[in-house]
Amino acid sequence: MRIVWNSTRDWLQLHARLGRALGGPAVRRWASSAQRLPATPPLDFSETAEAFVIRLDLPGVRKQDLEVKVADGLLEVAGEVPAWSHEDRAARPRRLERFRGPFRRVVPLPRQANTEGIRATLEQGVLTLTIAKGVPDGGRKIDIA
Amino acid sequence: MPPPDHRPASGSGVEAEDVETVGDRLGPPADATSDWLPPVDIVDTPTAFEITVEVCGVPRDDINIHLDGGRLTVWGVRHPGGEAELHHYRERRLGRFARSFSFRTPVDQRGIAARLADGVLTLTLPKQQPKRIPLE
Repeated sequence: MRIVWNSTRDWLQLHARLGRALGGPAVRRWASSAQRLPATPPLDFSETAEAFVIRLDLPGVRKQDLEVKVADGLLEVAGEVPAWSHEDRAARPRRLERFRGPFRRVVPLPRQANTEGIRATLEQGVLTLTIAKGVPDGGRKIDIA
Repeated sequence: MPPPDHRPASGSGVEAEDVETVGDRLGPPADATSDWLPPVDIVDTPTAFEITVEVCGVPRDDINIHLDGGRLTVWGVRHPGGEAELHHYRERRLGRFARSFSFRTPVDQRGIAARLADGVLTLTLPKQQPKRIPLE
């Protein structure tokens, strides 16, 4: 029997499990702002030969309202979209569909992720995190003594 | 496809329609259906309507704004980006999007301004000031 080691599949399973435990997509979505718990902005996860790439939609979020942290193999993106307000006191909101309130997303990083090599850019409301791969995925051959 | 729902404006003077089909005169093909509806805010000030549309990650050139009669439509296509990457997990909305707005209060069509910042499109539509016709 041949056991195929699939780090991506394992990562996704872990992601789903941890996501449920930490308030991930299985629990709540970005738009569910009715509750006081932080919302979870939508996220894409992909990889290239050299790096893992995570993209999050954060429309209208400014750099200063956003925090990205990494610890114990977990990447955390958190922040808050301020409540609606307007400089004109006579202004009346007629329809407010856009998200406001606290948001948080925790992503368990794959084993290969090099947490020293994370690059974050915020452009056009999209946060892109590029995480260098530190350890080759080829595994290691163990010699029998 | 049923025609877009023209819901009563309930005195606000402006209403967003959750369009599924965008008329061919507005630009996109007649059968264009939107894959997703970007969230919008509509604010009514004494002098203008301010509409903000979340279009994060959509390049400036891929956002279209059309005004036809009293109807304003914002539409475009959102591409995934990172085409050469191996995608494992996708939650972000992709594909065609469109939102339309109609106005009961007349707006000054030439005064409409559009601005794109942080993935949010802001449209300012000045309200038409009532014209006084002097008696000779």
